[in-house]
Amino acid sequence: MADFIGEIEGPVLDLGAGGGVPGLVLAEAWAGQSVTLLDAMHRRCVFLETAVSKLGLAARTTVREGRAEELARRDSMRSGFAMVVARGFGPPAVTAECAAGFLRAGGRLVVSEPPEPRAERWPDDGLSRLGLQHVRTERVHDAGFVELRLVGEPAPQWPRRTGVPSKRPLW
Amino acid sequence: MPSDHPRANNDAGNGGGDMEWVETTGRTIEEALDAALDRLGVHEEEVEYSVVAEPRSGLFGRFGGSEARIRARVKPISREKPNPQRRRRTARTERARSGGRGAGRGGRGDGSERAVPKTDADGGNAVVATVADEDADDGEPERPVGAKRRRRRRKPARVEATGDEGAAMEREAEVPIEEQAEAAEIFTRGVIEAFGTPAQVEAQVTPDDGNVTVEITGENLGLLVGPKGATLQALEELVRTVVQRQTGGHGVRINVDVAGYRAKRRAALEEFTRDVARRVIETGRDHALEPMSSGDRKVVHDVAAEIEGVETISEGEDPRRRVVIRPA
Repeated sequence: MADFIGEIEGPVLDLGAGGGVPGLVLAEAWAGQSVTLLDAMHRRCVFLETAVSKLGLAARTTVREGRAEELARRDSMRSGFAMVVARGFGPPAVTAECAAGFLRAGGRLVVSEPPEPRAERWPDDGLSRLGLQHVRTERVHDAGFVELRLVGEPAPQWPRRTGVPSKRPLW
Repeated sequence: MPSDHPRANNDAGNGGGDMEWVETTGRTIEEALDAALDRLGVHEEEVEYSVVAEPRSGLFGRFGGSEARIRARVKPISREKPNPQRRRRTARTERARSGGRGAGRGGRGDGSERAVPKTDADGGNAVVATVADEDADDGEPERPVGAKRRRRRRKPARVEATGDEGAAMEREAEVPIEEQAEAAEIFTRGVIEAFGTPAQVEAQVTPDDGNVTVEITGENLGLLVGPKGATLQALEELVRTVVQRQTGGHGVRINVDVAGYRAKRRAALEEFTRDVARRVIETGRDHALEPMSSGDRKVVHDVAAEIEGVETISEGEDPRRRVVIRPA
C-alpha cells in the first residue's frame, strides 16, 4: 500500500484500523508521519494502544475509539486529514461517505480493493455527490487499490447519521 | 490461491474483468470467511461465498476437528440496477436468516413467529400428558408412581409457567435434601469405583438455592468427562434418576461435576457470550448460536441479560434449540 500511495503531505487517518492493517504498518513505515487509527470496537482499540506503545510510535500515532459517522463531525477530526486509508471497512459507498468528512480539500482516500480491481465499484456519479473524484485504480504486487481525491470542501451533509450510510448506501 | 473460475465469464455485469474466486480454510466458516476477506481486501458485505466443506463442529462450534473450506469472491455489480438499496438489504437479510455462520443447519424461519405457537403447543402437550398419566397410574403402588408422574409433569409445567429456560423449579421435596445428597454421594462413589478410577466424591447442598452438587475430585479424571462432557452428562443423568427412584424425592436439582470441569466450561461459555454480544452490538445483526442444552442456554441468557444493547430468545426445538442474540 505504501508503494501505491507514494508521497504523503499531512496527517493520515486509518478508517476501521482493526488489527492495525494498514494504519499501524504505514505508521511504522513512514518515519515522522502523524497517523490516527480509528475503530469503533473497544477491544480492538485497546489492542491498538498496546501495539502503538510497544512499537514506540506513541508520539505520532493516536488511537480514537468511536463510530466514523460521529467522529467525522467532531471539529478536531473533520477535514483534518490529508489522507484517509481503509481496508475492509465497508462497501465502497460506505467507505467513501465516511471518509469524505475526514478529508481536507484536495485530500486523498486510498482503499484496498480485490486483486482484480474493477473501476465500476466506484461510479463517478456517486462519487461526485460526495465531492470525490476517481484518480486511479491499480494493482500493486498482489493487491488492488483505488485512489480518490476530495475536490473542494466536503459537503456538510456527509456522512449521514450512524448506520445510515450502510443501510441506505449512496450506490 | 486465487483461481479464475469458468462461471465468472457468464456473470452479468462484471465489466469484462476476470472474476476472482478465492478458496480459504479456517476452523469455522467464519474464520475461513475472514481469511477470504483478508485476501480480497474488502468488507464482509461485499463478498458472496459458498461453503465447500463444513467444519466438524465441536464445543460451541468453536473447537473442531476438520477445517471449514469456502470459496468467495467480490459480488459482481449487476448492470440493471432497479433499486440498489433494496437489493443490498435483501442480501443481508438472507444471510442473517440462513445463518451463514454455520449456525443455521436446522434453519427455520423467523424466531418471533415461532416463539408463541411453540409455547402454546408445549402447554397443550403438558395437559394431555398429565391427564393420560393420572389415568394410567390409577391403582398402582404409591411411591414409584408418584415419582414417575411428577417427574414427567415437571418439565412441561416449567415451560408453561415461565416460557423460559431452566427457571427455578418448585421445591416440594418431602425427603430431606441432605438425605438425597447422601444417596447421590453413595451412588456416585459406587460408579466411580466400578470405573476403577481412584477419586474422592463429596456431595454438598448449596445453601442459597438448595441444589445438590456432587463434586468428584482426583487425578486423571478425563475419562469421566468424556468427549465434550458427554460422559459427565450421562453420569449426572444416572445419578439424578437413581436418587429420584431411591428416595422418591424430586424438585431438587442434582449437579455432578468432575474436577471443576463445569465451572471452567461455564466460564468459557460466559466469555464466549460476551464476545458474541459485543459483535451483535457492533454489527447490529442477529447472531444465532449453536444448539445447546438448556443449562447452557440459561447461562447465555443470564450473561446477555446483563449486557446493555442486546436481548436473547431461544428458538427451535430440543435437541436443536438454540439461543439467538440480537440487538435490543
